[in-house]
Amino acid sequence: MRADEVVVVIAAIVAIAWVNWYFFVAARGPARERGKQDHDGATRT
Amino acid sequence: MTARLAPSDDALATRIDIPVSGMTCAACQARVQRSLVRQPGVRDAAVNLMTRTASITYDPTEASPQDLVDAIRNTGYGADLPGDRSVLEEQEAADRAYAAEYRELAEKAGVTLAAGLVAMLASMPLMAPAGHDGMPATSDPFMRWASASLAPIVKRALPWLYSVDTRVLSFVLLATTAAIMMWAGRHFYARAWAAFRHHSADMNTLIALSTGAAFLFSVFATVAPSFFVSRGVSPDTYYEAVIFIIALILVGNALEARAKRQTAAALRGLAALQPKTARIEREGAEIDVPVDDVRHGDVVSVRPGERLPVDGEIESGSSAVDESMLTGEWRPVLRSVGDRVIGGTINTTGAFRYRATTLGADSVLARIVRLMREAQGTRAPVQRLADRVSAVFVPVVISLAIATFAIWYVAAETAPAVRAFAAAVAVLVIACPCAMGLAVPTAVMVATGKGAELGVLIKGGEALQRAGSLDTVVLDKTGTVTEGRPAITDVISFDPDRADVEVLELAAAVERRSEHPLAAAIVAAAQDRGLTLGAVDAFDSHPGRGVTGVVRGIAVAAGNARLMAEWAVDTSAASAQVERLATESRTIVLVAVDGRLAGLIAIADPVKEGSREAVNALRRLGLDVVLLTGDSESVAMSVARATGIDRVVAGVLPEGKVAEVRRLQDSNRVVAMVGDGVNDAPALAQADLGIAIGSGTDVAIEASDVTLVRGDLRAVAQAVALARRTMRTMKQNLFWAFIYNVVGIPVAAGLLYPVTGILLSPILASAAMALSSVSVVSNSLRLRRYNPRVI
Repeated sequence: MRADEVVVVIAAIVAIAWVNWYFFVAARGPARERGKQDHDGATRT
Repeated sequence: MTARLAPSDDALATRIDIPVSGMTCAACQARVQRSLVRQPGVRDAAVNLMTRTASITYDPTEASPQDLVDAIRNTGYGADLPGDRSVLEEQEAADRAYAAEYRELAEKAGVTLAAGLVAMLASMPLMAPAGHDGMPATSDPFMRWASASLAPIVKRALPWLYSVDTRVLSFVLLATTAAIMMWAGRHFYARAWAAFRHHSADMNTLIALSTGAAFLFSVFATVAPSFFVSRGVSPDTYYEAVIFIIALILVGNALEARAKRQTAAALRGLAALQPKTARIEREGAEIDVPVDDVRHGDVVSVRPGERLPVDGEIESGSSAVDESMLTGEWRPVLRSVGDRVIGGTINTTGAFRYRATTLGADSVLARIVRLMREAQGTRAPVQRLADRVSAVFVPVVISLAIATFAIWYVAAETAPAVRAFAAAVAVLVIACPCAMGLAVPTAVMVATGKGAELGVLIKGGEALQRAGSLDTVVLDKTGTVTEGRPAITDVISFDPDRADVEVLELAAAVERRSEHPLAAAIVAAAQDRGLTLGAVDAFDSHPGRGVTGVVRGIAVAAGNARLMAEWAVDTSAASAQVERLATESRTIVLVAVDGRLAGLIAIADPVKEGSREAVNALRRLGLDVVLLTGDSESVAMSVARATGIDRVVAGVLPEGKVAEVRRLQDSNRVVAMVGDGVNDAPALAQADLGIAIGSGTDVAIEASDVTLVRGDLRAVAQAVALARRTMRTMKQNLFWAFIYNVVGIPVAAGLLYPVTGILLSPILASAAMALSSVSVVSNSLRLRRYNPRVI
């Protein structure tokens, strides 16, 4: 494997990890914050 | 402390429907819905792609309608506070919006498509197959094929094109593409960005990423071709691909917009029934006024051939009225003094004057249109599958595209960067989940429209889905299987001091306050005999048993044997007569006066025309039919014999009906209850599917899942057949939408390339994507031609 190919593969792995983190893990952030609020106020159904 | 919103708190909740513009797919809809649910004060939000409305239940102390509109706008879609308009006006406005949207999309698609063709011609000299100006040959297989087969023709037809400097051509293409992206494709990028900021991704994300990446790559190849040439790679540009992707998606969107207009045709037809003006009598003269100015109590006059402007009650004259557009009944119905008539129906031959009763939002037509809009706005449970998939779909596709790029980069022997790039863009383009978003709502919309044509009002996707999976139909007897307009056959007095007529008069006086069909028969019989009915005090209705009250100081009880037993009335004197009449399928109402049996009234209720056919049709559909009635077993059995029903449950109270339905459900039956919506209401609610039989004027539309406008039992079989066909259509749509992605993505990624050499160019991928949306919509539209021949 050439050096540029290694760079592309590593970049791709990082990019895939970031995409999944951004859309699946970080997207839950607002929901978690809402969960905290719920304990202070009303629980929405 | 945690305060939980119990159901009792729901009194605080307010519902609002906010029109949302700019949504194109299930992912858009899911995004708007997610952002609304996250708003403080929002209890529930249901966003509908087809009707473009967000139905939100919220707590007005925590959120205002403006907050909700702002929340929608923050996601990149348009929203405005709903105006104070009638349902019919709203429907007309929605139609205008559909038409305007279609025109705009069609215009943009047309111009972009033309620009794409010009760009394709202009890029011919740029992708010479053998390479020219010392540049290597183009690497994209589709472009290579296109240039090899088309270039000689273009060269002969437009020789001057080949004399233009290729750098100049490249920059002209760059400018054209940028202009198209900004004019026709701007909304894709704006929405994709808004989605990205909210950590979500939808179809716009895929379009923006694929066209954006292709454009930037092309700009780089245009500005710095030497970078590519020095590495032995052709500086390919994808300008025409970018334009074509945008054009084809716009063509798909425009076709969808047109299809959505068509699926709403039934609603448009209903809304168009309302005439704009009415001829009313004011101060002795007839004047034409706008229909909105008609007041309750105004006298409206109608001439032959005219459409009735509002609902009302006939004061003078009579005529045959064509109510087919609302009830599906093809024969004009005779309406005379005292009868109710419905706005939107057509007066055929006679002339009459009638007093306006229900107006505006309360009119039958407006209620039906509102019900239909709500129905088309609800979502079938099967839709949740599509929603769940599309929420995780886009990020997964982006990951796949990145992986595709890396694998191609490493594996390709020639021009790895270009091939890797083309495959990655093709994956992004082919994966647009529009077909999935359209699979269920288009089928629901067409089916509810088709149902309305047949006189079956279906309350949305959930009701359709349940109707499709029924295996047992429970029929109420009175008013459902029988006419429900019982007539009196015998009045017998057992009290030597009271004549038959007096028994009838006392019974009629108390029954006048009851809504039961048997009561109506007794009152009608008394009125036919010219009896004056006294006022009733202390009236009480005992559901499933009868009524009691005080008339002229006399305590009167009228009802069945159970009521008499409760009131400790000795009925032995009537037993011989009761037995005889019961064998003749009569229903007996016993009348007690001051605690003593005074007489009995025998009532017969003829079986409806078509009931037998309906029961046969239901059987042919593989459904078990059960007759359920509060009447005695002998009456029930004689009706069952006349209609061919073999399972009878007789002598049940309204609560007993619920228990019977529940018992069937407990034995794993999916049960539909068909009733007239008054005393059957609890059972209708308990059943998996409540079907209300309503007469054209008195539609119990709010009470049930399905309403048969015509009151004809045969429509139950039609509704079930339609629902089954609709479920099949939904499943086909979902199957095709999924299979398209399951097959399309690997092909676009180049999985077949090592074996067959097949690769999908981004241009072909965008055509395939548009095709999948169109095929799903067309499949749903086939339901419009479906004719449930079950009778």
